[in-house]
Amino acid sequence: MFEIILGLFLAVGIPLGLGYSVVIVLFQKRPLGILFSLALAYGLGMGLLTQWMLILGALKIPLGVATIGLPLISLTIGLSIAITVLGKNIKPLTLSRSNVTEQKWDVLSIILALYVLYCVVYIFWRSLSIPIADWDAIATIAFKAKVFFDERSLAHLKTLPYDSYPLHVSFLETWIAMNLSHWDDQLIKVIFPLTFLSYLSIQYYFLRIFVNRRWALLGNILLVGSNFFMYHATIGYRDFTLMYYNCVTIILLTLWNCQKEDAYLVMAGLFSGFTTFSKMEGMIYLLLHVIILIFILVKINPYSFLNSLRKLCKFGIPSFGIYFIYFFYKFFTKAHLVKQGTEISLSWDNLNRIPTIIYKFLENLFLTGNWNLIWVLFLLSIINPHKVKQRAAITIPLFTLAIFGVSFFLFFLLTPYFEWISVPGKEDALLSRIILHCFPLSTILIILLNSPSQENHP
Amino acid sequence: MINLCTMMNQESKKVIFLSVIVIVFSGILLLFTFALSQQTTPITLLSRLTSILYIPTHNICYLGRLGGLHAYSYFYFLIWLSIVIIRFVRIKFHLQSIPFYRFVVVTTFLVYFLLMAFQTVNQLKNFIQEWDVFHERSKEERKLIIFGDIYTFAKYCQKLLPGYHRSELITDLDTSRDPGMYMHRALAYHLYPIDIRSVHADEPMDSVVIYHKKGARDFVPDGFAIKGIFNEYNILAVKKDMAQ
Repeated sequence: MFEIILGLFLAVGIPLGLGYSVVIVLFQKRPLGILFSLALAYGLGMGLLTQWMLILGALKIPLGVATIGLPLISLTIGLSIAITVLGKNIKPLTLSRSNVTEQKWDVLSIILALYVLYCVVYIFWRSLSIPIADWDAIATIAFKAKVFFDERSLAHLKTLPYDSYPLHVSFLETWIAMNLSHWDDQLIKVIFPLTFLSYLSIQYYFLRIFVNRRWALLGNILLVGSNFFMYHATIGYRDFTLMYYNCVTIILLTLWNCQKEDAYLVMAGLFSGFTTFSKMEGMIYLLLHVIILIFILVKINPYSFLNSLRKLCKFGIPSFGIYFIYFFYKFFTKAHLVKQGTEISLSWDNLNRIPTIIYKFLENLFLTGNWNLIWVLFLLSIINPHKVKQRAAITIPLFTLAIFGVSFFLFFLLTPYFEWISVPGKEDALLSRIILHCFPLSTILIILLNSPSQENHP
Repeated sequence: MINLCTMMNQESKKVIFLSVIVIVFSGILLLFTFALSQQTTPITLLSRLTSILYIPTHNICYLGRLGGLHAYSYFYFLIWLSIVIIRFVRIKFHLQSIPFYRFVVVTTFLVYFLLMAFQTVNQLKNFIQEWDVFHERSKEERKLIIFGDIYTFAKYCQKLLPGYHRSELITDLDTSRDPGMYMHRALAYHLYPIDIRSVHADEPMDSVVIYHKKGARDFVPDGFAIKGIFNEYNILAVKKDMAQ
């Protein structure tokens, strides 16, 4: 038992420590709250860890706890020393909570917090008590992880199923198993409830900047009110991780725009890069993130051309840098670069698909057990002419949902993936998971558009 | 500013109070109407609602039907009826000054919480069921519950043939579609490092896994000998020079 606890502690602690020290370095001038930093550090650390595993694998260095962990620990120590030595003269500023009066814990907030706590306990119990068993989790993700764990290398990646798929989640499962010193079908899923907890914290802290505690907690309640969101936090699919990195990227871009602190932009770049290593869709999402950034630079907060270019570089270098590591690895090992069957077809016949696509979207959003009544609330929130004004904290997530919606629509309109929403037997397989990738943004918008204090948004 | 906030708060309380009253009234009205139309009792309807709102799968969360109607339709009806009633009664409560839109949003929020309460009961039932099945069971037993003979056969093979082995699967299952496809993937996962998915495609095959095959003994290829018989459908065979 002690070995297991120690193994899990190391497996989570090493990347968390690295992530935390990077967050501290990035936000030296404007330190974040400790819990917000830890929540960001989790995603950052796990992302950096899997990139490091990829680099080691590409260099044919055997993957093991020592080869992976020791350099990361050294880096963490190095960064900690640098922070201690260089950070002495820095006067920290706290994260500004714009015009939101601090409230005491009232009965309603306590009830909301207890419900969120119940959900967290449930997610931890379910993830760690039920062995990995769902379709893709067992067929590709954990299967690859098991092979990497067994062979301590990426030597046979090319002959593994779906060799072009990004490896973030598989690598994390391998890493957990390595620290446990054995393959454990339950404990390898520990990353998912932690991702769940990390996302809840990030969204809560983000909303707390704009609204009071009760409304921020309500944001979390809207999240956990979705059956699909909750279920995916327990089953070992990559969609939950992709959702996490995608939505945190948007939150960081919004924070960057509101707080004018470039560290957010660099962090957003890193998180956007990690989306590309979570699932194939991540590459498209990275391009959408760039479009969102350009939208901010041109429409919301116009900078000079040179400054805009600098900002784009601060975002683009980490994000595309991360993307190209795996791209070049696949290129040089002659693995498939993209998933087969994603060819775009431009034909007038595709227009016949439009009614089916619209019907399927509406059915999924309003008549499945996935999302509760979130999308009804969302529609009601955005049609209020008095509330939707040009405020960045609202405009950026709203613009994001709009371009994601258009992209999904075009994706089904122009690619053979249309059959995944139209052919009986296949029709339920894809759409819910794609919507999940940006679903949390709707809950953020509902809160920002309906909370009384939203008049004071930056 | 403080006066404005106090006024806003009082206004919100009035909106919430009226909405709650109307939702309760509409809910009871709808419950009895639906119960009557389906020739059942309101209690039966309510108890059905605690078991059809949480049917999750990895691709989608399904909803059950209630009296031939989509489960959410009850909640949409409830929103609609409550809004219609509020539209008329708010004049009686002297709340015309508050935009009607606010009542609509508050009503939807409240019905959202009502649905969430039902969902949570569904989820708790599911939780208790899973708890009953899995708690106080060893990790092996849990896998046995989920995978059945896929898992026991895989462990049987690994016991007879430890370490890495390239193997071929012979089966009657249709591995191009579910459920055969899932059974194949699950077997491959639990069998590994006995490799039936050609991870080491360049290495020679040294064993054959015969799974779910009628008359399994008859399908042992030439040059292979039976290493272990799990049952009449499931057999592990290895190259003759490895059989001893």
